[in-house]
Amino acid sequence: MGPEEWVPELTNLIVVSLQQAALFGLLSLGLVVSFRVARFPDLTVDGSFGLGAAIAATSIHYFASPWIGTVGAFLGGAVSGLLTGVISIRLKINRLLSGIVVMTMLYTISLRCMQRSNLPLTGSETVLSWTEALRPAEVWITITLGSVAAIAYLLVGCLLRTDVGLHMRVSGENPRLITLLGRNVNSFIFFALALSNGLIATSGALTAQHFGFADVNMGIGVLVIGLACVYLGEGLLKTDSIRNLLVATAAGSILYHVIKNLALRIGFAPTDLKLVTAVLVLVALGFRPLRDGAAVTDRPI
Amino acid sequence: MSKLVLSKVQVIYDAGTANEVCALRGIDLLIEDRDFISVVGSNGCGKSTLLKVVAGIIQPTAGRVYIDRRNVTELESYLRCRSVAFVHQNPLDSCAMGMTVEENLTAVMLKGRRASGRFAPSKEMRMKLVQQIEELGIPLTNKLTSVVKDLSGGQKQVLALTMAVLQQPDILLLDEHTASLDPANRLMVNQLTTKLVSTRQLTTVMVSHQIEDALVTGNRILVMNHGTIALNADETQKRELTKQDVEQWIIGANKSVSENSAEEQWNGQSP
Repeated sequence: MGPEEWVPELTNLIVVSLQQAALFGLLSLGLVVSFRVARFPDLTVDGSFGLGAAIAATSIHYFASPWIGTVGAFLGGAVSGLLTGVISIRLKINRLLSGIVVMTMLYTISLRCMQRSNLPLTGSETVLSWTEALRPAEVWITITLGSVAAIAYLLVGCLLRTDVGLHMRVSGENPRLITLLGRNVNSFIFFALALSNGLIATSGALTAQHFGFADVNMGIGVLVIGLACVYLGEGLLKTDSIRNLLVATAAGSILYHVIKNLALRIGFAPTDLKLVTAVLVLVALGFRPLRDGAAVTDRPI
Repeated sequence: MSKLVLSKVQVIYDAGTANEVCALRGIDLLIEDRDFISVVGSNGCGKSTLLKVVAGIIQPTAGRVYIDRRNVTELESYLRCRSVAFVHQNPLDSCAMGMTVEENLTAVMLKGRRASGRFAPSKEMRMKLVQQIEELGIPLTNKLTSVVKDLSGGQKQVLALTMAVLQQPDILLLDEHTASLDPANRLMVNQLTTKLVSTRQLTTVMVSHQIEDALVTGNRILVMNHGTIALNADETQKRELTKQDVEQWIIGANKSVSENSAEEQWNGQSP
């Protein structure tokens, strides 16, 4: 195979990977906020991603308002995160179970919202429509999605360096300490869950608009994809500060999507991807004790 | 004026079950402003429970707690903690291990302030922080950017103590904060404790396993036994106490508990 064949193919693979990394980068960012900053193993993810896609698609399909749909997706996700928090804190139900219960609820809510299991958006105006007029279109879509993700990372990074962010991190690291400092640990968990699921739902909303459809099953398995990105980043880079953690997550997202698209290119079927992702998670996690030595035992999920 | 008042405080763990334990049996205690009280006693005598009741981590089954004449018994833990600082035996409980020393101290400096949405630590806050640490002579100035879990055991406990002192609390509670340290660090942390408490003029309650430490630190000593106060020695009494005396109070009172009720014991033994 000569360079005139594989160069465009490689470029295409990288461009596609970057687009997907940007879309799912918001998801990984949400997971970092809940799993890493607040240390809350939140399983609402699959539900809030699907809800975000459903809210955006409904708004576009029935009301032709993509911007309201995208903002609405963020708010819908935030409310679902709050619900998980309320169930786990006020009703004192196990954190994992609270997330699963809300995720299950959201599946039905997404279906009710769209009124059918699949909504096509082809030909409808979306928040990404304006890039269609620009050439080369693929590059402009990549730049747009990349900028959205970069801004989101920057905003979350700034937030985590404010006093509120500092307390959010303390409440994840040591809930007893934040109580001793005279602050209510629950309020920070609520905030982290709302922000996290808002970002995840936005990720779902943009994904639906990018691919031109929303499906009620869209969210199934995205939690593992997001975790794969986070774990790959942590395996690659140091995560001892907020900046390093966010950089590692972004890098992990890109790496994951490059590997995924390579896997597709060398002949894996799209249906094989869940297995590929799961194996990647195992490799990234199994690699950590080898790198850090057996002494490091207490790791969050 | 009394800083802290405990009135007939009773704590029963697992009430109504076979494991029912009466940890505090009607404790009455007055602590004056700037008192430094050492509390000693054998395991399970209720020392730590006493501190946790003051901090609001444990709600008493009966009785009342007053701080600065305000009844704080019903106050939620996080609200109570606005006037109380607590150092645990294990620094894991007092610090955020995965964050830097500076971030830990900043979180403390923000205590009592409203959320502002500004960057923390800001430049101004950083300067104030370094200045305060240098004034207090705390050996952490070259460790500000280190992550807490990379510090040594002694340094971690110094940080925990500093974090508590910087809050300028109405009451400082120390729960065997030197118990997990080696002898050299124990001495260092004990000396630092005495120094910080006197510089900042704090009202302090320190629980200790080391009778020697309890005798040399603070102005009052409290011996607890089976959820009651066996000996409440003031400054003059304390000066005459020896290690053997305190041991006698700890052991001797052990016997009387089985014979007398808590009430009688309290009446008979209070000075």
